[in-house]
Order: sequence, then structure tokens, then C-alpha cells
Amino acid sequence: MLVDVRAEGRKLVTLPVVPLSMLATFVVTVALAGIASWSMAGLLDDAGAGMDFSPEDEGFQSVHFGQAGMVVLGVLAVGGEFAGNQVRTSLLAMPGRLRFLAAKAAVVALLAALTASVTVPLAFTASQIALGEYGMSLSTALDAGVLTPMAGAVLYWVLLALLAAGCTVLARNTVAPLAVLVALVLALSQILSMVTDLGGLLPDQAGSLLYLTDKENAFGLDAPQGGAVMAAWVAVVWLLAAVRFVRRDA
Amino acid sequence: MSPEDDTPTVHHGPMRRWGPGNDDESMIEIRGLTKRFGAHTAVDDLSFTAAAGQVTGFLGPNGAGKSTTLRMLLGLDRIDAGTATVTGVPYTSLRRPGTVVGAQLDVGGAHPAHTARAHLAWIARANGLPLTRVDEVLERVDLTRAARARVRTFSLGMGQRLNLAAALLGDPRVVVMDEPVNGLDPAGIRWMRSFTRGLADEGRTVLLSSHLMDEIARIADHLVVIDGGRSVAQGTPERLTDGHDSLEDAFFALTSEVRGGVS
Repeated sequence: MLVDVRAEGRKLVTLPVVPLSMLATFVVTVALAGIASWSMAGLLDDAGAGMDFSPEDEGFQSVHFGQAGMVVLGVLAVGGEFAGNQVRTSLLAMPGRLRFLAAKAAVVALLAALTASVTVPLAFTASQIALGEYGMSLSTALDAGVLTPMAGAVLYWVLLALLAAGCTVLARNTVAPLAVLVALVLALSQILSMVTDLGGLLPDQAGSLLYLTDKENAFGLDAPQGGAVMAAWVAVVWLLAAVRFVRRDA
Repeated sequence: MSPEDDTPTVHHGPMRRWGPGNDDESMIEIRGLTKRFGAHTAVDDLSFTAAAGQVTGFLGPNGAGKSTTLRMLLGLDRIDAGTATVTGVPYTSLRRPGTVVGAQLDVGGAHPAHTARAHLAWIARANGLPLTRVDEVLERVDLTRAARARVRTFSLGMGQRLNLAAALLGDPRVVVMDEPVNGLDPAGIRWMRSFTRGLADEGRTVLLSSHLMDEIARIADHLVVIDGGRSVAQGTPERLTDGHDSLEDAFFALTSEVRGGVS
């Protein structure tokens, strides 16, 4: 299994678009955190004390936009198999189809965890620095227990990358899962949640409870429950993907 | 620059590492193999073997079921009935398949954005092979100069040779080739022919599919001819060609007989 994971890892990191998507996720998320929080500081200057504002949630705002990078990573990691029929070579090298899928999922999770554990803390820090006097200092942030939602945000990104990868195994192409999932996480799930309470059970709506501590949820889920709902989505998608992938001709 | 300049890298001669006497399992065995796509039977109760140290030519027109047979043998397509084994076991049960069976399938199989070296490197890793093998096989198929080039820039012939390099990474004793001379120019065909012969002369089992009858008849020791998913003839090229001007003539005589007989 370790041999398979290493082979998958080498396959993906030597594909220029994969490290590029990780780097772009990092740069865009941290830059966005700085710019958004800097302009928020300007708003706070104008509005005075009258505004309802949490510097902690502000520190995670860019994580919300940067998550699109995890969708891209997950989709490309699997979608690459269907470019040039690479999947044929993969199955010749690893004829155990479940083993191949497990190695793929492991590498996607590892790459997402790596990206997230660098990006999330630095984006949060950039945000607090840009907020200036409205931001949290390191000690107040630690006192406020900010490490827990940070770990939650990293976990959320990993789950999202896995969800995207699983959907791509099912779809067997890149365009459809990329379009649907980016639209979902950036806008659609928000809109659906306003239309129906059930929207609160969408994977990203439930999963984002892992790091947005003040977020309202129609089902009153707490952070671990929200994470569990998202993990269930990931598990179901991968189960369907595995059944389909094992049964059909390559 | 032309491919045949470096043909000395093909090892001819008596270097028999896996001769028939050394290992009587080193062969391919197809028994009653059947594949259906809906109502259409693509491969119909097909049986044949490929012996060690021989080039077995697997011939038939396009759509005869050659690729489907090879894909079932290699675990890519599901088998509806019968068995297909390499060295006595199904391909999918091999732990590091690349070290036992090398498969060069038709064009494709590599991500267009990978370099030749990166493509071979992950395959080597998946088979537990050292990365030094990558440069060795690139040299053996004359792709050393293209090692850092992206696969999307490759010509058809280079793509075929890249797939051949991938097949040889694990120094396998069984080599399966699907239409290896498809789309190659005469120099490329000549190179591939001599290369394939060299593989068998080293004692490897070579199973080679093609719709180009006479190209294959020149290098094969044994022929399996199929049409409509069924075996129509098996034997040495000499025996199958006997009484006809070429293998192709013999094939058309054979298949028209079969078709006449069936319908």
C-alpha cells in the first residue's frame, strides 16, 4: 500500500498543474485575507463601534474563498487519469482497483492537508495583521482557542478535496465536477440554505461549522456534528465511486 | 536520428534467460474466453496459448476482438466467461505485475502534461523498481533525447516507443503488444519488428496483435488468427500460408470459409 501511495504521489506532483493549484491556493487565500481584512479595517474606522464584528470569523473569511482551490486540486488529481487514458496505465501497474482508489484518496488527502496546514494559519495571521487595531494579537488569539477552528478549517479543506476527487471518479471527467462543486461551495449552497433548511445539510454548509464558530445552522449542529455530516457525504460519494469503478471496464 | 540507427541496443542471439525449459509456466493461456457487449459477442469461446521464447502473432481484422481479448487478459475488461492467465495466474492477482508482464497497448496511456521520464518514474515506483530503470528503458527504445519532453509533443511512433519502454521497465518475461506497428512509417515498422524479435530471442514470451498479417508473419513463430471473436486458425506461419501467395490471401480464404460455414 505504501508503494502505491508513493507512486501516486510521484505521479501527481510531477504533473505541473497539481503543485501549481496548491501554490495558487496558498497565494490567493493569504493575499485575499490581507486585502479583505484591510478594507474591513477601513469600514470599521468609518462605522465606529456600532458594527457587529468578530475578528476570529474575519480571520477565516478567506478560507471560505480559498476552498475553491481544494475543489480544483481534488478534481485535477483524479481528472488527470482520464486525460490521455492514463487510467489504463494506472490499472496495469495497480490491478487492484480498490487499492488504486485508496492510494489516490490518500495522496489527495495528504496534498490537501499540506496545503491547508500552511495556508489556513498564515491567512488567519495576515488577516489579523491587516485588521490593525481591530485584529487579535497572538496571545489573545491563542487564549480565545483559535487553534481548534484552525484545525477544523484544515480538516474541512481535506474533506472537500476528497469530496471533489470522489465526484470526479464517479463523473470520469474534469469539467462537470469542477463546475458543479465550485459553484456549490462559492454561492449555490448559500442560496439553497436560504431557500430550504435542508441546505444546512449540504457538505460545505455542514462542514464549514468546523471553523465558523458563530455560524447558524438550521439543525443546530455543533462543529463535530457538522464535520460528521460532511464526512458522511464524502464516504457515500466514495462508496458509489468505488462500486462503479470496480465493476466497469476500464 | 532515424530509429534504426541504434538497433544494436536490441539484443539478438542466444541470451535465453527464460527459455521454455527453464520455466514452463512462463506463458499465456486463454481458455474459453468470452466477452459480450449487450447482444453483441465480441470474443466468443476463444482458446489459445503463447509459449515462452516465441513471438505469437495474434491476427485478425479490425473489430475481430483482439484488443478486447488482450484487455481481458490484462484485467482491464471484465471477463464474461472462461479464463485468461499469465504464468499460470490471472493478471489481477499479480502483486507487482510490471515485473512479470509488460503491456504495450495502443496509443495513449500517459498524461499529456507528464514528461516521458516522469511518466515512467511513477510506473517504476508502483512496481517497486529503482528509478535507474527509467533511463535504461528510455535508452533501450531510443527515447533518451526525449526524456524531458512532454508526452503531448510526441509523435505517434514516439508514443508507441514510450509505451514499449513502460512495458519493459520491470524486465518482464512476458510481453503483450497491441498493434505495435500501427501508424508507424517503414523505418519505425522495421525497428519495431527487429525489437520484437529480439525480445523473444531473449527467451521472453511475446504476444503481439495486429491486423497487418504479412508484417507479423515475418517475425512470428506461431499465429493465432481470429475473426468475429472466434479462432479461425492456429499454427506456424508456414503452415497457415501453405498454398497461398501470402498470409493475407490465406486469411481471406480462411475467413470466407468460416463465414460461409456459419451463415
